[in-house]
Amino acid sequence: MIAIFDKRCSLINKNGICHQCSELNGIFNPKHETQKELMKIEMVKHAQTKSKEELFDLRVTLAKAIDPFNSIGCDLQLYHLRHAKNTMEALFRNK
Amino acid sequence: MTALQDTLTKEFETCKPQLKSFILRLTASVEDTNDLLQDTFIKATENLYTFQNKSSLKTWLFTIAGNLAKNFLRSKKCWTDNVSDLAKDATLASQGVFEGFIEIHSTSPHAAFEIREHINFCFTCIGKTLPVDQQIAILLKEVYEFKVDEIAEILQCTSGVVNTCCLTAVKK
Repeated sequence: MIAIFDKRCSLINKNGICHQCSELNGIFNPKHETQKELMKIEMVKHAQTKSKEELFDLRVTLAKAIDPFNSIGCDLQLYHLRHAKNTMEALFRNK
Repeated sequence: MTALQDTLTKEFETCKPQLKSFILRLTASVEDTNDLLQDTFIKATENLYTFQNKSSLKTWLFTIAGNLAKNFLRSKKCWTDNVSDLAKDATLASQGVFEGFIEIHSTSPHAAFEIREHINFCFTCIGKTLPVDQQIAILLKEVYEFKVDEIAEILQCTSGVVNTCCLTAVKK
């Protein structure tokens, strides 16, 4: 997971190819400054100073603190997860 | 209701939020999660006479849930690590999906967008690129804080295998 996050996640690697969290924040919270929001997250705050392993631990800490059925944005996230699952199933069907 | 059944019911209710999120992180489906959660309780009740107190009831419940999820996922492929890109492309290609996002966001009281929740979503998606045993091992160890010997019991393997599973999963 560390290698995938390092390759993809622009929050921890400037060359990461995925910026979706920032893009979605721009769509759903247009009045929030994305950079300010990002800096509230420990993993992002320490992206330049901590090792990949430590950043993974911070990511786990964040995941551990969220109940996906009982969070402030659970309905939106569950919808997104269902869409991701549908996308994967369509990919496998068409292969 | 016997005392043990009563204890099981109470323990199930206590563990329910964790069991539910554990199954969701494996199946990525609310409907499948609810089905497997219900099956976990039914199977635990039916097989309660086999429970020997060698492990805690919590570990036993996670063993049943893990086995049910493993069977359920056996024929399913691991996700690809570009799942977010593909999902974004699919959203852009279909107006209905994006409208769905907007509708939920504007009508549900539980649909605020928070970056930290999106990071959690990514954790689930990337977890699903792993083989199911690795997914289960890493979730139990890192998210639900089970000890290695408890995970070995849940996965019915040795502690060495659990350590290898977790190491491989984390490094991938």
